[in-house]
Amino acid sequence: MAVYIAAKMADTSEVRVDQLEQISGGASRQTYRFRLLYKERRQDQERRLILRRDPSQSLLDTDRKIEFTAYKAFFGTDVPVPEVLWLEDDPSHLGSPFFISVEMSGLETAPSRMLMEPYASHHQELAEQKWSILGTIASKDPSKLGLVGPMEWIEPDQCWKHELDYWEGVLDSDELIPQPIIRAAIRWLRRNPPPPAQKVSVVHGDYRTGNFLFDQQGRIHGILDWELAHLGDPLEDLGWSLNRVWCWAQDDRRGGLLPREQAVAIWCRASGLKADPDALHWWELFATVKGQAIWVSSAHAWETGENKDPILVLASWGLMNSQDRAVLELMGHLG
Amino acid sequence: MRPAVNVVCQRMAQDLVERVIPAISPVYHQGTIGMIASILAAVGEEWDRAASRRIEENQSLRDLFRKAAPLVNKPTLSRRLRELAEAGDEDLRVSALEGNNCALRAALIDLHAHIESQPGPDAREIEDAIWKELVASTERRKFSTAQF
Repeated sequence: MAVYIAAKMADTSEVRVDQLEQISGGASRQTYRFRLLYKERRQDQERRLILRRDPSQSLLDTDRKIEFTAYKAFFGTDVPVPEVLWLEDDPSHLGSPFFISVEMSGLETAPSRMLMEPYASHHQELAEQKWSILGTIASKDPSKLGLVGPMEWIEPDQCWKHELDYWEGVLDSDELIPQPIIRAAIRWLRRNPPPPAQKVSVVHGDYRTGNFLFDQQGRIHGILDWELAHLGDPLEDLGWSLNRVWCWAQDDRRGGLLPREQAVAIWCRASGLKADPDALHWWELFATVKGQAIWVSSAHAWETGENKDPILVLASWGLMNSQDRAVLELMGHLG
Repeated sequence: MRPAVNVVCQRMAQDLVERVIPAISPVYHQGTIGMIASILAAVGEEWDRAASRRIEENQSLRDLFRKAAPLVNKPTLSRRLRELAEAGDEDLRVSALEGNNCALRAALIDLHAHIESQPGPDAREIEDAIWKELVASTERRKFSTAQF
């Protein structure tokens, strides 16, 4: 890695890497933190960096270029993200493609930590920022961010169909056991399509508690995991963020933070967009299909040996049934 | 088998969390052991109910198919439902029960899709019964640690 980075950094010498340590970063990429040491104009320099490397088989076939491009597009805007430095597709350097970013140190991501003090006292502030930032993402013009091109353009009336077709396809290919509840949801979604998107925006794709960095004062410093980012209906992200499986506090608070209606109101204020109740209901139900497709895919990847990370077992065992119950609730069958 | 399997799993999970995790580094491996402990706890919870929940569900689905089959106007589906309704769970190994459960739930998807397209109160009655069975299926599978 030091050899690779040295070639990227002109006017530096004695480039070294130490304190390399794997950290939790989801099942789709191997994530490591490390310290970069080098000399620049004869002065010792040090940087804390993050390496995100593709495993031999990712949980989902996500595009690291999309993720890298999204980070680059939002860096320096009012959507906080870590700075990304280098993207490498050539597997000869580190065994598989990777990218390197700057580490934002001393921050938390884990939902379990967020439920404990000192973070628990700051849920209102965290929630305000969480859904405001999501609204800000939705309010941006993707072409001004330079993301139309790197991300495939989609017409407003095709957003729902494109996503539903894709995730139903994942279920079709990876399903290990029949899923009668999610199949009923898919039939309902196709019979009752939503209106065209009020605008086509950047959709983060996995915007939830667990995918942002926060501090002990309840401030959010970085939105992470853009690997499912795409252009689409901004209600898709809002629906995903409200998914019942992210109710980490085992109550009705979305993302473990606050009630659904309040989250929606914050998002509307920040985005300047409307959350039509019927359209949002469609996207919330869609989120259950997408979620179930991911858990089904996790089970498939682990059982076939493509990826042996125990998080895949935990995700599929822990979340599949909750996801089914979310369908039942949204379709009015859960009493 | 004593100590009981579910108790063994629960206590070993507890041991991993309380004794093993604090003694290992780096943090990433602590996280991995934590996940394995959670999986072990889930195995313990599932162990005791694994056969009973499948037998209960398979029987419930067969009862539903017996009631629905005469209302299904697609001959192949109607025949399939009758055949599944007449079968039983002779082999009580969990893998065999799971195999029967998969066959029944695959047929349930087809029945549900068919009945949704049919008019009339009889179809609605079957549809309601299907949703009730689906709600019951999630209660049977629920883990005590589930978020929802």
